[in-house]
Amino acid sequence: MSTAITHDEAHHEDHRPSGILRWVTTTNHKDIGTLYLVFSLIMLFVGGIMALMIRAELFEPGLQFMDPVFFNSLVTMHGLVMIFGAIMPGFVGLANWQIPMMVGAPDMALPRMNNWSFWLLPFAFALLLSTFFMKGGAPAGGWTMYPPLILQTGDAFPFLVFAVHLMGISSVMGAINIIATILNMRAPTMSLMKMPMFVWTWLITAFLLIAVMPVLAGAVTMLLTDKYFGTSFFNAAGGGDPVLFQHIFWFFGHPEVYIMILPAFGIISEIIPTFSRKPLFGYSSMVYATASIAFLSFIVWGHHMFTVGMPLAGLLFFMYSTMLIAVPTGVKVFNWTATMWRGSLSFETPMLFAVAFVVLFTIGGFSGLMLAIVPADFQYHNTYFVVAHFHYVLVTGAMFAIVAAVYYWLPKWTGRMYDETLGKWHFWLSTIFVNVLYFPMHFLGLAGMPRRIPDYALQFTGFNQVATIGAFGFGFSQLLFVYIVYKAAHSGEKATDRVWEGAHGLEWTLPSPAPYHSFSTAPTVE
Amino acid sequence: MVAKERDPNTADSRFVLRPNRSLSWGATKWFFAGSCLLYACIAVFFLAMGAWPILPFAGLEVIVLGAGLYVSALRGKVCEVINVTGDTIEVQSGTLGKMRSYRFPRFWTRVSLRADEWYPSRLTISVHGRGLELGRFLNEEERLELAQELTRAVAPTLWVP
Ligand code: HEM
Ligand SMILES: [Cu+2]
Repeated sequence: MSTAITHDEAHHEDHRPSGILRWVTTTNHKDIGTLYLVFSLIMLFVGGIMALMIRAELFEPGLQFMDPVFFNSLVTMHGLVMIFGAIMPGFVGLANWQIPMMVGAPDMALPRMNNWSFWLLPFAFALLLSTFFMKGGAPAGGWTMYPPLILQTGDAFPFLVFAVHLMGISSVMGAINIIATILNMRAPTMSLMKMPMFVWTWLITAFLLIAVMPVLAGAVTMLLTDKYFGTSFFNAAGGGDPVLFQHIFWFFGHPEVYIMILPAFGIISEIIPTFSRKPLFGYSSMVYATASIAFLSFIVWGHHMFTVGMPLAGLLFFMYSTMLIAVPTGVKVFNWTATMWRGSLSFETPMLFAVAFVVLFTIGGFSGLMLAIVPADFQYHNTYFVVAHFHYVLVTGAMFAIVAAVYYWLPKWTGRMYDETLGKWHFWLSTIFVNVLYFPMHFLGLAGMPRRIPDYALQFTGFNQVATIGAFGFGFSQLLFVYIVYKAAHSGEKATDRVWEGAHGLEWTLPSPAPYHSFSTAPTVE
Repeated sequence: MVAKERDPNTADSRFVLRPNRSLSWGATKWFFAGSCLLYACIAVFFLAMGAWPILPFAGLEVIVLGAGLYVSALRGKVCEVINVTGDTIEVQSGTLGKMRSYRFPRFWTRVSLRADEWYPSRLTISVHGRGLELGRFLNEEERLELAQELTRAVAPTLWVP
């Protein structure tokens, strides 16, 4: 006998670290997906507390609880925390859990890098949140960081820039991993046009992410050098141009908003067919619609800066290109509706959130179209109408999709069911309060209430009070979500393999991608 | 992917284990080139507007993307070959061209699968407590099925031809 096996190989990675070290060193996609989702939930509450402080201040005109600079810090940090801390990591967590399962891969393509991508985030946000305690306070120039205002930030400024860099690196590494996994690790029978929509939308999202992150990194770096190293990229006195920053920022920013919605489209395209017990209507048109939205997102950034005084040709170009996006978006909404049409529908919690997504996201899409009309935007720009628009697409859009996805896949992840009655309570509370919260903002905006101010004229009081009540209702309803998830994971009923009667796809059944097709059948002997 | 051959006369068999790879090296290069082109266009566009710091970031990122795709392709080249012949089991593992080989006496060899609900299961082939892990790069279903097939193949007495 000649074995060349060493003791080492025999016990290769046999002793997995336990406790906290397990989570620090893990390269397993399920661990990392869980980390991302838990992180995202924590950030949702951190950002949520800021939002409630904002809404408390706005309950009445005049200054109640805080000085205006702190209020502005809250608005700025709320935006950064929600976008980079809650929504994006939420989607990346879902990607980590689902993509390997959906394409039949044993793990993500680059597990070690996956670990780094996650662990950069807690550092980035610790840095960012620590700025609240620095001289000059946290950044207060808005999440869009426009110069020259943002350059007035105190000691926090370099930390802001560094934190944004870290978030960017994390996103880029996450995106590269997702691309490598989807392109390279699919099971043999899964061609591109057979991939689940969630996988497709993430592939396109990852591609977008990689395209725009260097632009953001460049933008904040130029802010840094303008402030500390005497450059004048955005400084008019030195021959620079502050509007250049807006171009650069929105070249990143608009694709970024699609980065936050395309995976949501994917989730909804998984959930609606399941609970309609019908295949997705128009699969390939969904894929092409997603790709067109991604392409168009590169040429519409100017709609965020109609009021900077650009030439008429620019206004018209950005107006029409923006309106074009409504076409593929409309295709999607049509397809979801057509999938439900004459389906045998049932309304478990994930489906409720998905249907609410379709309706409420569409409201956000319509207000987006209103904002895309140049002369109208001159009126609406920087008012609460914009705030209403992007909260409909981001909260009832992106966040509802993530919540729907958690309800939908949680039984698969934990092997346990959540409490359906509580889930329905969570849905109805969230959906009612979210509209109480954001719908009045449309009226406030149309009536001319500007965004990002701690005080307002008396005539805006009523709608602001309604919105604040909605905010607290919505905020506290999310505690129920935490309880439901916790309860499901610890003491939920055992879930079946398939979980949902109408579910299809590799993650639900033992997949048969026929890896053994070349086998001679082995005889079964007992 | 697992490919298996079995000699019906001798109950000898051979398994070839390779990870699934869905992108050929040629396609990888095309994808990378296309991505570089798009990202270069963006960086050059901003360069022309005077915002040159975007270029180095785009460059760095392209390097990481390239490295990621390369590493992923490289890891696709690993291979394990299990030959069950007569009274020995020979396992060769490594990348093509650089294979290490291990031999086990067939009648003392155990195939064991340790399943875990959360982490991937682990398939080991061992003799007197010393063993080798097989098919870490396979997906769960492939590994479970391989475990069954391999157990049967290794224990010839269980075979009823
Ligand atoms: C039908 C599709 C959409 C159209 C036509 C559209 C149009 C617009 C326009 C014109 C603005 C600028 C308003 C202004 O500042 O005056 C805007 C702002 C915004 N949109 Fe949309 N939008 C659409 C979808 C989305 C989606 C899907 C998201 C995110 C998931 C989103 C997120 C935002 C955000 C965050 C802002 C505000 C940025 C800021 O100034 O802080 N939009 N949208
Ligand atoms: Cu936009």
